Amino acid sequence: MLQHSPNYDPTIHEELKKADWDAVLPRVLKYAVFRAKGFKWLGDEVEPEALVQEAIARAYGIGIRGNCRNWNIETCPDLGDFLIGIIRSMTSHRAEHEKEFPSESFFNEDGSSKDAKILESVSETIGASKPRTPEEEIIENENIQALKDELDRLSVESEDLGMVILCIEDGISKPRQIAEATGFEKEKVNSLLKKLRMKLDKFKPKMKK
Amino acid sequence: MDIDKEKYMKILDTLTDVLGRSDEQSTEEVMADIRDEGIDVDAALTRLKKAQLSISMAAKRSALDSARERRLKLVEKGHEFIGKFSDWTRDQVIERIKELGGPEAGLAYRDLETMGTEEMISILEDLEMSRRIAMEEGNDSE
Repeated sequence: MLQHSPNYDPTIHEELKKADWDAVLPRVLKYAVFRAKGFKWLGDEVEPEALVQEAIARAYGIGIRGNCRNWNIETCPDLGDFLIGIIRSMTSHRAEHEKEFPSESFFNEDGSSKDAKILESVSETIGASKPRTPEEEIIENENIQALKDELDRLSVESEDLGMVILCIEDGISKPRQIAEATGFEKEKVNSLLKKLRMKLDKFKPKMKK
Repeated sequence: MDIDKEKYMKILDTLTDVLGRSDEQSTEEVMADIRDEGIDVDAALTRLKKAQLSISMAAKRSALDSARERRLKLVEKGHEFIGKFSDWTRDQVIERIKELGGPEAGLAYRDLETMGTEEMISILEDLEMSRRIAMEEGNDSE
């Protein structure tokens, strides 16, 4: 049974009810698509929609294993930013302990809940990127090496793209900050990021399973 | 392996963070980016909207279940008062009811006088239980 965490404030439901979900969901889904892609590059399959659903469930206080996040509308007025923050935190490779999320969606195509037994097994799917066997560790390391090589290759291929990659390697994750660091126009940064997305689409990692 | 894995995990985090951001993009542009990834964006958003509604309903049910569970626990705790006053005198019972009931009980004092002691004890048990529940709920809301 889904249950509220005792640390959750159910009065937040009213704020969530008022939110413009049609405007919020595309941004959150896009973010989840690329976070899921990060797992794919390591050799794992994670459904982006599962990440979005778990973020929503946490915002409603009923995340997997009692995980919840209290939305403070004062400090974070944008629900999209709040949900993206939840996804970032639960998929961060820097926070292994946080990585407790389902790798597959727990709702059917029509939005109805999947069988309780499936839900249970899904809730056991934790640490999607954490290698469980030596073979998986090898595959993951090979994928990281291949991704590194690909980023190096792209940096050599295009100087501008190389500047953007350098910023990313320095931990700069906001397009505005990349524009400031490189001196490029914001539009140019966005176009380079799009180019990077397309180039990386050709990167084919080995899958663990 | 000759690469710093920890370092590349961090780069991977930043890379997926920056690629997933949609700062200052319109909804149409965001949807186009998702579409570029080979995703049927309209179908995905429809599913997510339905999932959001299901989650909100499940959360409401969960909130109601938690509240009911809490009430049941309090009622269970209240059972400790049953039989507790069986050896009290009639005057002791009336005095305690007046203490617990405040002015309302004072107004109904004449009605109390007409009751049998057992009936009064039963009212006292209810009052003690209500007081316990009110106290516990007061603590919960703090």
